[in-house]
Amino acid sequence: MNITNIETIPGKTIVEHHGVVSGSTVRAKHVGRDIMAGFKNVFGGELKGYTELLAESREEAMQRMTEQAKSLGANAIVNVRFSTSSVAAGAAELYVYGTAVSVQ
Amino acid sequence: MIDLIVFLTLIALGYFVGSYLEKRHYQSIREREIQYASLPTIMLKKPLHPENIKESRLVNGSVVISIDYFKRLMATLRNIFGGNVTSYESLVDRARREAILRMKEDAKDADEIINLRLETSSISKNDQKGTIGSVEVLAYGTALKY
Amino acid sequence: MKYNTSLPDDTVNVSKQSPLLDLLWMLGGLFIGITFLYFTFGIAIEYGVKNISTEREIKLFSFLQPEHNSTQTPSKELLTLRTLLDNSKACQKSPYSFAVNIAEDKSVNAFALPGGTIVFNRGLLDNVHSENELFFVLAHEIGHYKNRDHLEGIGRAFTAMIIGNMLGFSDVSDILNSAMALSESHFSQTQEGEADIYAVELMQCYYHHVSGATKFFEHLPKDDSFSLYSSHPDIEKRIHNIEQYIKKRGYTANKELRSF
Repeated sequence: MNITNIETIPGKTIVEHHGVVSGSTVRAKHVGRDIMAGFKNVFGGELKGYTELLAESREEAMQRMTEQAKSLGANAIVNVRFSTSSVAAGAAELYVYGTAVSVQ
Repeated sequence: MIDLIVFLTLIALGYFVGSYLEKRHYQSIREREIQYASLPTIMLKKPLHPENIKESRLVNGSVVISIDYFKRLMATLRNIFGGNVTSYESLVDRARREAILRMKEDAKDADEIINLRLETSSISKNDQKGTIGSVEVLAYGTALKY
Repeated sequence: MKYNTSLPDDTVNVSKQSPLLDLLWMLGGLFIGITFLYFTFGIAIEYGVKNISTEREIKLFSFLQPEHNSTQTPSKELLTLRTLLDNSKACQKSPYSFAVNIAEDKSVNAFALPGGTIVFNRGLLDNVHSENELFFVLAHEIGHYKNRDHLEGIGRAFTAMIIGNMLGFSDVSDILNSAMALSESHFSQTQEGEADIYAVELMQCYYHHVSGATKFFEHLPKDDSFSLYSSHPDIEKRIHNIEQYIKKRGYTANKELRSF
């Protein structure tokens, strides 16, 4: 599955549009990460736990979007955009969306 | 009284350790920026050589950076007076540059990255609404191989 | 299209001023602002409040009165205090209908709150060994009301509460406690002396003698930092003045003390 965030797949032509596909996950952090974060909140610096958490969630969200595109019969997703928002205390929603297309 | 001492210690820790970590991070960022300077990254959708593109894929890089106690104190005081919250400037600057560098690393074997986009979101602690605990920056784009 | 690989100036996004200097400026401004507000606003409120009539004051601060129908059975000490208040009403000659409350606080202190509520701390009750001593403390507090001393410091305490709330300290009970401590410790020697004299007169009117008037001061713990002792310095002087006054008025002070 070819995924890009521009409107075309370079070197190929789009022959069919399958509509908007998206994938989202809502992840909550667990206590361990929270304690480290509290600690880091004094010193500053990168919260590796959170970075990993969000990166994994993003992977999963992209996976779900890809599955959805596959089920529509597409072989590429163009114009992909990301969005992160916090939905509850300690939980973040990761949303990936794009247009599923068939290319040749 | 004890509360005050703990508070001041945390602030001192935040200031000294925080600024040391920040300096070190900036050094690492600068080194890597020089290293990756040869990988063209643009926010345009138009590639350098649109004719002979072999393959393309989505690349992304993200980082979550938290603020230290000193920065938070500064921001709280700024909330009273208004004006530039200078303490957060370095925070988002670092996060942004780090995210772009990680994206470039994800696209190490590529020749170019086009349509770079940045998404920033703030992550706050449960009990404090409004003040940010940390900032997440996501940088993503399309990596091209000629 | 060509690509130029030189790196831009990367320091444009971060301000160059030192954060410590910035912090110092802001803290300085904050300190000046708060001090200014505290004194002007606080003193203005006090001036206004002292000039309202007693009736208005009672109505205004009636929310501080303890509920009369609370489900807990009042303790023995509370009942004693209430009896003393009721029985000495004729002697008090005061427009207030006083109410009394006990705070479970180990420090030795009593507070005269606006509106006519007198609060006794558990620590003070533990240090009282006779009904006469208790009456003296009660009468002393009533004496403060006569001179409207209890409104002293209230403006500043109130402002402190508002400022505290603005800055984010939302624990009101903490602030109320410190405000009470603030207002209690600002009585001048003259005010204390006058309240003492009123207390002596009230004791004479109620008991027909003044035994035990100074007994209370004699067994105060002298090392507790928030006790009456530290916020009312020169206790020796007060004891002396009370004894002089008793002598001048020719009251008897050697009768039996009632137990408590």
